[in-house]
Amino acid sequence: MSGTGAFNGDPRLKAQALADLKAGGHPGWNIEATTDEREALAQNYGLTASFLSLVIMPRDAGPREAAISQALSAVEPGADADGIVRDWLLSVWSHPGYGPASRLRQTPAFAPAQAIAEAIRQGGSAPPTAKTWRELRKALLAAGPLGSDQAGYAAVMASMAWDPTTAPTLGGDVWVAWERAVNNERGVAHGWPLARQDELFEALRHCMAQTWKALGAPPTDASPADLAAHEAHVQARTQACMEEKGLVEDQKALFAFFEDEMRPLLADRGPAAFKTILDACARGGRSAGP
Amino acid sequence: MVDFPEVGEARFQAEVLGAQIPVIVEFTNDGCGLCRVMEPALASVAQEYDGEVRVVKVDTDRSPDLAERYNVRSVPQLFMFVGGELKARLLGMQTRGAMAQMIEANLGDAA
Repeated sequence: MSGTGAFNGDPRLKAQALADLKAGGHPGWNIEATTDEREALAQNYGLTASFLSLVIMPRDAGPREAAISQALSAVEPGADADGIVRDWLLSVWSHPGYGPASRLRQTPAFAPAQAIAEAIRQGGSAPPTAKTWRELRKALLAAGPLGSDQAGYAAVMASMAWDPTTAPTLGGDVWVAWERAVNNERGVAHGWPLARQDELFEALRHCMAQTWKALGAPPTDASPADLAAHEAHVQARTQACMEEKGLVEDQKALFAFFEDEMRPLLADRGPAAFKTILDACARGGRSAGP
Repeated sequence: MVDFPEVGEARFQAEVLGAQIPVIVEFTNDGCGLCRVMEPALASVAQEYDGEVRVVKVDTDRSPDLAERYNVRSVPQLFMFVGGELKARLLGMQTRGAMAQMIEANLGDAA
């Protein structure tokens, strides 16, 4: 980033960035962009790769392009893009609804997690060395015991504790860690920690793969009726495979859990989490310390 | 872009199961978008633990037998082997923090 801050301090460059985003003109806007592509995009518009990785990641706030556009629009030319990321990390830490601070408060992980937050707070003027980040992370991960719901929040803080110059996707990485921690917490409360969900889906994929191997694809000239019959056959055979594994009831329970618990959670957490990004963008990194 | 060494069936025994230091194996393939999103995080971790942990990848299309042996039906997946023993498995996209959690929890076993 140049010394003049976000968009090189130029409102016209900000307008160009928004137009480029709308046109899908640069591969760096893509969520699967390489680090080089993301850094080139950041260079074009006086931003940083870590900041871009943060605003490009959210998935719960409607169309991605609209979400990125909203976030960029909230950034004043000249703002401190890396300061915005630090500010956002701190707002995640202390978020009143879903923050790691409240979840870890009564655990041995609280003090080391708080030390990470403090290091982030000081990062603008006195960036910790890679060695210090590792020590902070190690202290956090050695602190226990933690429940599996709390371990997810420890992973959020462990995802923050990296040197941003060597971890250019840090913002997006923490977003994912936070999302997973909140989802996992709800899952743990209802007997469906993420690891158990992942294993069940893996079993389902195993059954589907076996079914496709046995049945093959429908003929390319199959009629709509034949395709429907084939699809029904695939589903029945996949379900039979799940039944053989004794997982049909689990599958039903998991789908009910998604409907009853995860849907309302996502409806609340998605906008709340996205707001933390918009707020940090609007503050321009000024409250993250010098 | 980081190019982790690819290990196939022929070298898996020597480079993973017989390795002197812990090995993280990323099961991936060319069509895996989440693997591309996760790659910078994995690269940071590989850099951070260089000399203590080795990171390699297995392409599930080119090494279907390995995918079958370890019941890998989706990618990405990370496996951590210590002294030839499978110690941890993470399904789906992972963050730096989750990877560090896995490593720190199992590095002691390597001593």
